[in-house]
Parts: sequence; C-alpha cells; structure tokens
Amino acid sequence: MEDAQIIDMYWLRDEYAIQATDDKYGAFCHRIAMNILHSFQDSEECVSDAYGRCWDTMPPQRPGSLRAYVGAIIRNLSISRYRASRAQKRFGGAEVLLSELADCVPAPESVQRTVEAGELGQLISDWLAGLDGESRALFIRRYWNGDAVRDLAAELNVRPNALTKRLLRLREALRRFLEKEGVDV
Amino acid sequence: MRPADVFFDAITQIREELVEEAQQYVFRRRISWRQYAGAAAACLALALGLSLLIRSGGAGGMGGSSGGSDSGGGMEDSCDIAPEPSEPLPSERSFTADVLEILDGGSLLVVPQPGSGVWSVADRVTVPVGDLTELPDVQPGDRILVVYSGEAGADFVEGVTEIRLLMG
Repeated sequence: MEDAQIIDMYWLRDEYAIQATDDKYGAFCHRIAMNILHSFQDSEECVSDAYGRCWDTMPPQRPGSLRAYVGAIIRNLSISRYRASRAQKRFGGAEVLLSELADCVPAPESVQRTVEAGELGQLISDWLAGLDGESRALFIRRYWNGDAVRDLAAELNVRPNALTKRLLRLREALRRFLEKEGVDV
Repeated sequence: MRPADVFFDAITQIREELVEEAQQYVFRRRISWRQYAGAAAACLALALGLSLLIRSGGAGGMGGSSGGSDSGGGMEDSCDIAPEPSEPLPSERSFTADVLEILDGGSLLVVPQPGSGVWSVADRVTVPVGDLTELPDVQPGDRILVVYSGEAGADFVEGVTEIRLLMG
C-alpha cells in the first residue's frame, strides 16, 4: 500500500491505518528502537506509542515520507526512554552513538552563535546534501537508523575497522563544516 | 543536556527526503583484494589445466607410430573430457536481488545479490513483471526472489513467473 493511501486513512480516522503502518514499516520501526534501546520490551512499547503518536498527529500533519515520519517519532520516543533509563543507571544502546556524535561538536574557539536542535538539523541536512550518495546513506544509516557498524560493513563488503575510519572522517568533516558556519550546540 | 544529545535530536530532524533516500540506497559491494587474488588463482589454475590437457592431446598425436589415427584418437579424448553445455536446472532459475527502481511499463530495475545466480557479476537487471497475476507490494530497497523460466541476458530476464518479497 502506498504511503499516501495510509496517510489518507489516518486523515479519515480509519483505524486500519495503524495496522497498515505496522505491516509496511513495523520491522523498520522495531529495528530503530532496538538500535537505541537494546531491549525488546522497551522497543515494543516505543513502537506502540509511536503508532499512537501518528494517530494523534495525522491530521494535521501530512508527511511526504511516512517512513521518515514514523522513524523520527520512534527516535524521539526511544531516546526519551533511554535518557530516563540512564538517569536510573540502566544500560542503553544509544551510549555508543552519542559518544561517536561527540566528535561532531565544534571547537569552542570557533563559536559565534548557539543553535537549537531544529536549526542544527537543517545545517546537518545542508551538509549531507553536499556529500556523495554513498557517504550520505552511510551517515544516515549509522546515526539516524542506528545501524551497527558491522552490519553496514557487511553490506559494503569492507572490514568494520575500515568503515569506522570512514565514519570518523565523516564526523570530522561535519565538525569542520559547523565550525565554518560558526555554530555551537 | 550534553552536546551529543543535541546532535542526536538534530539528526532526528534531518530532512525527510534525505532520510527516505538513504533507506532506499543500495550500497555497491567492494571486491576485496582477497577475492581478486582468488579469482586470479582460479583463472591461472584453469589456464594451466587447459594447457596441460591440450599438450597431452597433441603429444599423443605426434608421438604415436600409427600417425594420423592416434592423433585423431587424442583429439577425441580431449573432446570427451570437455564439459558439455547444459541447460540450467530449475532450481538455478531464480535469483535474489534488491529493488532499485520501479520503472514505468511494468518492470523492476534490480541489483542482483552477489552469488545469487547467473548474475553474479551483473550490475543492474531489468525484470518485467507486467504479465504477473500476483505481485507483492514491492518498494525500492526491498529484497526479492525472482523466479523465471525464459532466457536471461547480461542485463535482462524473460519469462518471469513469480516475485517473492524476502525482506521489506
């Protein structure tokens, strides 16, 4: 079923929209939640909550890509749950992703203005748009989907170490871009 | 909130079209030097084997006292050993692939999986699906099994009988 048809069902308040979303993107959603939380039970609850959030937000929202839309909701819910569990000293899978993302933080001396996550998202989008397709897909699959390095390396048929170095170069390139833009987070 | 947390939230807000494109992107698999070396070694072994085979056939022809008849026998021997071209078995008439694009006119542009069938080296294959009575809801990025009964070329396949969705 096409995304537009599923979104129309949300707008018509047809409850089958949730089933259709689960049929089409259920596995994708579970994978993203698992990549962040590393807990099947927590992931299940996040995915259920995400479908509820879709139901609550469509209408008025009409996303161009339902996959990106529901994926972003899953990321938000998963990281919120992760932060709550971190506060309670529970283990969470996002720590590795967050430690890698620390490499992107611009150096203090280059800072001219502080940006919020929304504006930073737009800047990162601009930077991504200037990359070649493979680098862009790699960055998004690693840091948006949270896919494991070993899985991505297997898809590319390269050693995980080689991919780790490539991802490091990408993060450094993003940091330089943000320093050039004079932003802080 | 740590800067890395802000980055996480910012990445969540990456533009939708970039995220969608990344989900559909099919990575080009690198061929490692080990695979190149393995292929080269296999070619070398095959060339040496053929060379020895031809030499043994030729020696039989020149060295025998009965002349031409021996020579003919040697040639027949080498022909007997040569593998005969055979029709692919039914189980070979399928391959797995990732859907790259849904083309107008009822065709799929797919990237065959390495080692998944006759297209172990093909880059892109056009799969006509217009005649199928049943076709799963295939989207770019999905992994499918293509079953066919017709001819297959370097970048096309004919007589597709079934498309099975392996991984959506």
